[in-house]
Amino acid sequence: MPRLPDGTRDHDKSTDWLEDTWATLSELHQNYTLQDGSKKLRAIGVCNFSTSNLKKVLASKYTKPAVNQIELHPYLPQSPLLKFCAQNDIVVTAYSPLGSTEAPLLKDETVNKIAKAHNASPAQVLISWHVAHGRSVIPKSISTERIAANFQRVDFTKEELDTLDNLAKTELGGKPKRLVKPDWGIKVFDEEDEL
Amino acid sequence: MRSELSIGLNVYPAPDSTSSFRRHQRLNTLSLSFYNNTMAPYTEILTLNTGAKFPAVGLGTWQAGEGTDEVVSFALKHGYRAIDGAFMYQNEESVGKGIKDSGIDRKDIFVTTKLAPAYMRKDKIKEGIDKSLKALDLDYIDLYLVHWPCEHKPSRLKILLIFRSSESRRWYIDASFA
Repeated sequence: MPRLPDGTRDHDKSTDWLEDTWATLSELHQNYTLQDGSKKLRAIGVCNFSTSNLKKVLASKYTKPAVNQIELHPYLPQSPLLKFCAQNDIVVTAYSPLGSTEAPLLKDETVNKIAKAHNASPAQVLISWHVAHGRSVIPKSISTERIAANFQRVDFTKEELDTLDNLAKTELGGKPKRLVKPDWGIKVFDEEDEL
Repeated sequence: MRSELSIGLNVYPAPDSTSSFRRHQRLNTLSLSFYNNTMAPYTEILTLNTGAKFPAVGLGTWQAGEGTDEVVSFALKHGYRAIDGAFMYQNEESVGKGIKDSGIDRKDIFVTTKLAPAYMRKDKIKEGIDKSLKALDLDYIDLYLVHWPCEHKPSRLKILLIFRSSESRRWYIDASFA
C-alpha cells in the first residue's frame, strides 16, 4: 500500500467506495458476462464492512452484498454486526478464526477445555463455532495435517456454544480484541459493532 | 547473435509473510496427529441471497506462500469445496494451478477473490476483475469481494535490480511495489 512522504497512507480521495466502486461493481455483476450470457461475477460482496457502511450500501439503489467477510472469533464476537447481517440476508464469512498471527485463541483455557471434552483440537473448536451458528469460515493453514483436521466438525452442547459466545464478556471483561489491524489510514470499523 | 531481452518481475511478499509450504513435504505420508478419525467432515452449505450455494468451510490463502498450489490442491482432494483468495495476496496464479491440479470439476468449487484497493477507481475495476480471472485462469468467479472500504492510489513500482543471467543470457528486472 503506497504512502505519502510523511508516512501516511496515500488515499485516492477522488474515489468513493459506494458511488464509484460499488456502483460500478453492481453494474458489472449484472452485465459482465461470458459468451453464453452467464455472469463472470456470480455474486458480489464486501469485506471489513461495519454496520454503518452496510447501511449506506443497503440504502443505495445498488446490489445488496451477498457476503460480508470480517474478522471474527470469540475475542471479537461482533454480535451487533452479525445481527444486522442476518436481518438483511447477508452471509458472514469469518476470517482469522484462530486469531491471526500466532493464533492466540489456541491457548485460551476455555477453548481448550471444550476441545478436550470432544477429543478435538482448539482449532477445530474455533472453526466449528462459526459453522454451528450458520456462518462461513476460512481457516488458512499450510500444513497438510492441519488442513485435514480443520475440516472436521465438533458438535457442541448448547452450554458450550453459550460459553464461546460470551467469552469476550467473561474473559475479556467486555473489551473485545481486534487482532487484525492494518494501518488503514482512515476509520474503517465501528466500536459499537465489536462486542 | 544478440540475446533476447525479456523482463521477469519478481514481486516480493509482505515482510511479515513467514509462511512457506515445504515442497519436500510428502503429502501422502504424514502422521495426522491433529486428525481424528471419529470426527465428521463438514457438509454444511449456506445459501447466498443470490440463491447460490456456498460451502461453509473454505480454505484461506493469505500468506500461504510459495506452495499455495499444493495446499489448494490438497485441500480440494481432502473434501474442501471453497477457496478464498485475493488479488492482494499475490498468489492467484498458484490458487488457479491448485484448482486445476486437484482434478475436481470447476463447477463443484466455490472460488472467492477480492478487488484490490488500487483498482477501486471506476475505470480500473474491470481491469482488476480481468487480472484476477487471468491469474486464476478461470472464466468466472463465484464471489467477488471489495477488499476493504477505502481506496489507495495504485502502488508505485520501485526497481531494485537489473541484471543479466549468465545462464539464460536474459535480462531480468527485480522490482517491488512501494
